[in-house]
Amino acid sequence: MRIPRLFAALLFVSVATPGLPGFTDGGLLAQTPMHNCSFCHNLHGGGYAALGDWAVTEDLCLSCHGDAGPATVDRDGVQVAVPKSGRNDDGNTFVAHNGAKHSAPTNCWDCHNHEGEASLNFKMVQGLMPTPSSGDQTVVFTAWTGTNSFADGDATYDGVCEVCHTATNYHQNIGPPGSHNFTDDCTACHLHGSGFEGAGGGCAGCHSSTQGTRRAVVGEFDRTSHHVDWAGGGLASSADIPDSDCTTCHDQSAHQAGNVRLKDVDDPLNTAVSVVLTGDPNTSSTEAAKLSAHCLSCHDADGANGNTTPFTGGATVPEIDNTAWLASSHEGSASLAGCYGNGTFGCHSSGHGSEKTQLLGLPATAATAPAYAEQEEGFCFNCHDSDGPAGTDMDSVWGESINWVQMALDGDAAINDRHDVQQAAQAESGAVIECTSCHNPHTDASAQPYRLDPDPGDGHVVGTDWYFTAYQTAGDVLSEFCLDCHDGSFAPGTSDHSTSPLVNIRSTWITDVMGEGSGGAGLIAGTGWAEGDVLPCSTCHLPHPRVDQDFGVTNLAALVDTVKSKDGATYLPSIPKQGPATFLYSFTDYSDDTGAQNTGNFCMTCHDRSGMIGKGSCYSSRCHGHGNKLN
Amino acid sequence: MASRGHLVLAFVAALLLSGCAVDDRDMVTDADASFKKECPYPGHKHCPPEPPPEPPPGPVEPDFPGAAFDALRGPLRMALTPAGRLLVSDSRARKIFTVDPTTRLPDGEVTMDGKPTAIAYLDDVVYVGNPSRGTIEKYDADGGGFAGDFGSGAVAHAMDMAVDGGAGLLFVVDGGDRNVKVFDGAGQLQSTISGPGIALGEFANPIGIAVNDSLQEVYVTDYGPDADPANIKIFQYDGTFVAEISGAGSCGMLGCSGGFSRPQGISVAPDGRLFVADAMLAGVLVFDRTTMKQTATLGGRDTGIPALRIPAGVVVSGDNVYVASNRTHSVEVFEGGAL
Repeated sequence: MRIPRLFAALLFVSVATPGLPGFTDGGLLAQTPMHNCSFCHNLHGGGYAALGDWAVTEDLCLSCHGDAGPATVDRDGVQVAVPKSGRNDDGNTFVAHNGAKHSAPTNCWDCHNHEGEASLNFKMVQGLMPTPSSGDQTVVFTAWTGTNSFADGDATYDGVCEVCHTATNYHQNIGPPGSHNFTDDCTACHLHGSGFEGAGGGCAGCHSSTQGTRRAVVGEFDRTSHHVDWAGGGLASSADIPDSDCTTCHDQSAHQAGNVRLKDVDDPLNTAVSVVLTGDPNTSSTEAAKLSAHCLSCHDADGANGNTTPFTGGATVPEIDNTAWLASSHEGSASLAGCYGNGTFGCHSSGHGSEKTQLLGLPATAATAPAYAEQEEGFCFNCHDSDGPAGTDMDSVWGESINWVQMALDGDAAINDRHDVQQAAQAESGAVIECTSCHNPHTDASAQPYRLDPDPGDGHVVGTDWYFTAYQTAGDVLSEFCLDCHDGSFAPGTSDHSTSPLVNIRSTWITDVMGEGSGGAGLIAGTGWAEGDVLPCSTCHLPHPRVDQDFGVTNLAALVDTVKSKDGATYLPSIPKQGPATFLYSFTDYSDDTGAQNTGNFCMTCHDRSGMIGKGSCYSSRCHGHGNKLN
Repeated sequence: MASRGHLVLAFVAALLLSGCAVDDRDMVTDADASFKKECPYPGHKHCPPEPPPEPPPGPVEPDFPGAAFDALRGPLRMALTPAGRLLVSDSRARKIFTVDPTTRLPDGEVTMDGKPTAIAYLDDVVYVGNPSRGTIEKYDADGGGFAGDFGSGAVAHAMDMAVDGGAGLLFVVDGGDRNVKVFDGAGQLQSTISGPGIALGEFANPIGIAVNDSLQEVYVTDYGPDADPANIKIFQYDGTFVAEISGAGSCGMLGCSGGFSRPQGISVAPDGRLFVADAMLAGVLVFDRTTMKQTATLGGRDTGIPALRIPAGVVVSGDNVYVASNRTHSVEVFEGGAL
């Protein structure tokens, strides 16, 4: 009978040698004789089960050497604490020496027991260790570093970190002598408290450098955009990023098992919905597609399970309307595989950081100002170009040469022909507007291709709150969209022209034409327009540069070069031009009264020149403002 | 023409009729003249009764920044907030948490510089033992801001803490010095209870602590090679050793039963019963203070639901008993466990 024999043996030992003198940490620490027999074997009754169960044995050890216990036997004076934060499939915690590489959990007794005493090994490490696949192996552990330390690199593989291993990258029990940090203190990186995973210094401690297949990711948090704002959070460097930032997204339950695992942050214990990458999402659209659910689990109204500021720095998680996203043109595009990708499939890349804004991919490729090859508009044009995959070629549209003119009458301003989206335009004018100022790539669809509230700060919601009843009556959301920014306040991320401020059209519109209606002086028959009509903005202006008919140039102030009839069915050049036969409906100088290219000519698309008082420019510097009859 | 005497009489009569003597309290400004006309000064018969004094503000319920629901890593000791929520220390997460007793999930957290152990609430302040710094730290209940510390050089390793709110005292188990230190709320050391040793009433490895302010008694769990078997020591506030509840079970030829060996956190129910978490039994033992006999067991390694692994902290709140289960990373409840 095993138990009575064991009981008798222990009783004998306990009586014969109370407080075994050898249990003094291999002689290193002359501590009080904690490990006498009865302290653990509880001969005098402690009410617990036999120590044959590994969990009981482990709890016995950890009742002193864990968080809640009194033992401080670690040589650094720190409590030895083994449990890690992983969970088995049944949701229970486990102690795993090197995680999933072991088929069964290890426990204290696998390495430590009385045998270590006889061998004089440190920390009660067994002198003859039963290994998983190599039989009993002799262990010599009488130094923390150098000879006879954890893995000393000699050809006698008797280090406590060598005797078991047969499938590790380094320090196998059959050699060859390792080149990996031999003679060092293995536990400086492979902490006892993490089940000896390479966890020294936390996530950032290891992932600041490569090691085998381990990636160095810490430096990626120094890029232009990233999830963790370590500087804003008061950290000295990206190397100080705490583990909690990493584990917000990363599932560690199978750390070092060869795959990146990401959480559903709203239900991180539900392994069924964890993302397990088996390839590189930067090159594989299939792998990238796996990540959308993970991204959207956080980019929703409740962030990471109610925490909308889950990362150091306190940035609020931008909320993505999942319903709108699923109905959007981007998500519906066959070429896109979801959130993640390289800019051809998917838009956003590594959450660690990108040299572009908004974590756009490819993350390591920096923007190359002033060319628009890489920054936001350039990013959009990767797909929206002549060879797709997007169906609209905005690359060619914005690639039209920029017309610049110095406007002496407007404070010598450099005026151009477009919204200042391109970096070249922004550098010249100082004004900034981006594709996403008007378009929301997460929600826009063909039925609603622009934002309904580009400037949420002004209290005016396009299509809900109306500046002008005429537009409301006509259902002209687009004109109200224009006025949401051209109302004297800026949309987020936009800024003003350095010398020619954003035109506050809403104010002039309401005092001028909205009060009186458009003028009908010399209105040419056949345009469809009538005196008193309230013109939509798009009658005269274009949101994008466009050579929409036959003149081959783009006009200042983003003016169309061919006005359409009111019903939109006819290009008005079909009506005989009212100016010189050779003039273009473009202009380079508002103030040019006599040249062929002036606003007078533009106005004369619809208004008969013969009926005008002056024959030159019509715009504000002369007689007419934005739509008014007379200044 | 009135005589001088008539003028004096008239003046005196006017004073009497006015109901008051000349007094600078009548020198009112235009702004408050209408009020002063009827109420010359507080307490005057024409004045309305004094409003009752504002009731003193109630205790501040801890309100810490939000925590992720799975933030617990190694819950250790516990205390109750004024509203009956749970304060939990977690040395592995290096945080202290507020925990909703219904969901038993953290709803607020404060990150510490070190590994928190002991935790208690007293007078709008959360007190936390920080062995990493050898201090007792204070955090404002409102917002969790650091509000100072004390004990540096005096507390080697705070294992657990209990408070007597009425007396404004904190009782700290110092696992390093192996004694109990008694502080006031300002951090002034008031007294020391017991010390290391093997004599009766001395500590091997004091772990958990609770106080009964009605009996003015201190209860300390203790185990170690010199405390064989484990025990619960009872002291008076002044340090006088009273008695010891032994962890020795009943042993016979076929082995032993009963008893306990790794007592951790301890809590006192309003009726005086002692609730002791035991790491090896994976349960909570209930003792009658008067008889010093075990009266009930909550949970257990093989039979207990919920499953506990190294229960380290315990509090009694109403009918329920809450346990910090260190190795399941959770706070568990025995509903009705205190009935």
